[in-house]
Amino acid sequence: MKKIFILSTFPILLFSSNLSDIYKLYEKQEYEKGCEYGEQYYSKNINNENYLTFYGLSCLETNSINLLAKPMVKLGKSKELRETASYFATILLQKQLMKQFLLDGKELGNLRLPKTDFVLSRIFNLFVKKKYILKDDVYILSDNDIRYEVYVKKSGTEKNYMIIDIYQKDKFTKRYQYD
Amino acid sequence: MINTVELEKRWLRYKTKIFRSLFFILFFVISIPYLSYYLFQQYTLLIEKDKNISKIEVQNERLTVKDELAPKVEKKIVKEVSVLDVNDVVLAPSIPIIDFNKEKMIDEEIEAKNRKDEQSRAERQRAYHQKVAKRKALAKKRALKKKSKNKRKLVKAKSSSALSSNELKVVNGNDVKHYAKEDIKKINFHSSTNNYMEIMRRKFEQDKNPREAILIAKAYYKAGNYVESEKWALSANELDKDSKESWFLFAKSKAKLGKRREAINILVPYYKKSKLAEAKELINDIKSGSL
Amino acid sequence: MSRYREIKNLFIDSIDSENYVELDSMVYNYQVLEESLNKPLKMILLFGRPGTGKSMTLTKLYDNLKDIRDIHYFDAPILSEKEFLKSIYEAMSAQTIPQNMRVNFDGLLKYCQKQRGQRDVVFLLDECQLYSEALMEKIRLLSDTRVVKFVITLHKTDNEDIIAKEHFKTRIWEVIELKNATEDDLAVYIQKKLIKKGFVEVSNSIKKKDISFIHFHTKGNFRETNKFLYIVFNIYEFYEQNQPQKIDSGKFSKKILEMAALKLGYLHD
Repeated sequence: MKKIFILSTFPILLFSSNLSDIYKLYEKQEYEKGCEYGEQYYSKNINNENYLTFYGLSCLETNSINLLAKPMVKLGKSKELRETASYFATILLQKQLMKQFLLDGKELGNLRLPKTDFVLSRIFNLFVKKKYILKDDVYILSDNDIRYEVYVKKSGTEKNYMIIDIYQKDKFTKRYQYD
Repeated sequence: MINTVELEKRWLRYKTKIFRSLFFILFFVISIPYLSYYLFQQYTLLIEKDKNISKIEVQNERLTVKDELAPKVEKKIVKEVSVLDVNDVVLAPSIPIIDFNKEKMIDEEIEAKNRKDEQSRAERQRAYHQKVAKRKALAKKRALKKKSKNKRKLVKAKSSSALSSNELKVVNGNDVKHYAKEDIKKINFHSSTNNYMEIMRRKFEQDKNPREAILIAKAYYKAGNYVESEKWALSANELDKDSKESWFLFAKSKAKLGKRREAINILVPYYKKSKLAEAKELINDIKSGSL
Repeated sequence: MSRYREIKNLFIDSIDSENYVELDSMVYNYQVLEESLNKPLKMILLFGRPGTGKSMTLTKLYDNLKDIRDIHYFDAPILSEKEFLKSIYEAMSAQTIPQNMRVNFDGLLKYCQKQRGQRDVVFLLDECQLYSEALMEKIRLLSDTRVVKFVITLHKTDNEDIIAKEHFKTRIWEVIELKNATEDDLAVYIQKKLIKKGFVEVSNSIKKKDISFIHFHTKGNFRETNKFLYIVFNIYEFYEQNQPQKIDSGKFSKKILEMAALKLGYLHD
């Protein structure tokens, strides 16, 4: 449900600015690179909210979802940017609550957070509705043809990762590893 | 004769009957609009829901269990397909429109501004340096003037053939304190060394960097723990054969442990290969025992 | 005598002309009737539902004209033909015929024909629906003599073939229909009745809505109204005697009206 406004029809002039670079990376769906790039030139573009939006959107698709916090707190100039900030905040909150649920057994109750189309939100809502099956410490949730498997992995240095494996029609497609 | 008692009773009955029917009529008259309004609202809500709700499906889903011996579990999951409640709050990010022309202009402006700032800063720096130089020159001049002034004031000292005891000492070189080798105190590194070691060791375990092994070996060597330093130098060398430090440390540690022959046997082929002057020097040092 | 008893007695159903209340509608009907007698009509039909004042009208008519004309009033139908003819003759001849003697119809007819042009006799016959067809035929024939005029009253029944019957159809006759009183008429009726006897305050205490109530249930029928009000004032009389605190002389009691209505079956408990 991303409101894709009319993407700029202006000829993308090959002048290099950070904004155009990060935008190009996002357009090419090179999210990892985009997230790194965003981090690299963050301080230089700290007041450019469009740049920050792309930075956030890129990191959203990677495992470095915690980096959303940095651009999130800086977005606020317009109504759309504020909504984007709330969108980021909601996703981060959902990730945290899910982690608590998985590690501490903290119940999600009947929480009703804003709906987003991001996979984490979808999974969160399924958890709230208790539409999961627990088998061998793995939470299995379904949403049409898509199956999610959510579990906790402990790394050697006692760090806990929340793993989300996504299966499309029983075929493994993507893994998110959040710390 | 008319039976008024009975008539009165009948009249009361009649009155209650009238009131009851009146009450019911009023009740219905008042409640019907409310009821119809309520029903109308429910109806409109229902219509809204119907528009958004897709079919609710019941599906069979098999859960494949990793353990082959366990039976396959069939479970029925009731799924709702994209249900959107009327009261849901929805958030969606907005991908910004980028006006590249505008951005270019803004960037050029910023760049121009930066250049200007740079220029002005460079100018300021230059001015400052010039100032400093001027001041230095001035100070020098003044100092020279003073010296020449002082020089004129200087009185020639009487030449004496006899040297004071101190002067004698200086001449003889007795003023320098000589420490016997035994007097050299061994600086106790234990407490700090342990911490450092722990950290370094952990770090090494994590990334197996030969550089860290070298540092550990060096630390041990410095502390006089030649057994450990040899061990760590060897580890470092195993990870990086080209590391000269590992070679030297290894040989040095061996030499310190008294295994001079071994040390030389290790260094010679290394010198032949690497042609490092340092290696030759070390060999000579070990040979001469001046390590 | 307690005043309510007096009032009660006012409403006893009687056809005493003393109790005749002049109502505009009734006045009109009466005038038509009176004038009809002067017309060369043989029969005049006065019909209406029971209790609409037919008998009262006839009574009034008789009282007014008995000294002026040759008029006779049979308030009850004489069902025996013998007796009927006898009565006709006796009335006309002012003679009394001994009991065992019969009046011959042909003779009577001739008797009447002889007096043609000389006499004009009016007979008021009430409740003619009870007369047999044969008798009615005879009445018709008598009227053909033009010496005798008949004013007959009939109940207006649902079955109105009587009027359509042969022997009435061809006669030139006046038909006067008496109807139930309107609400206003009824009000006047009740009020006049009361005021005539001096019960002005009682008359004033009866309000329009009371009249409406009475009219609604009695349909404006005089007999029914009389019956109703008789019971009303009967109850009043009882309370006056035994529980005077229950009646308020200033206001006409709706409760008592309803009680009377219950008794008469107009209302159901």
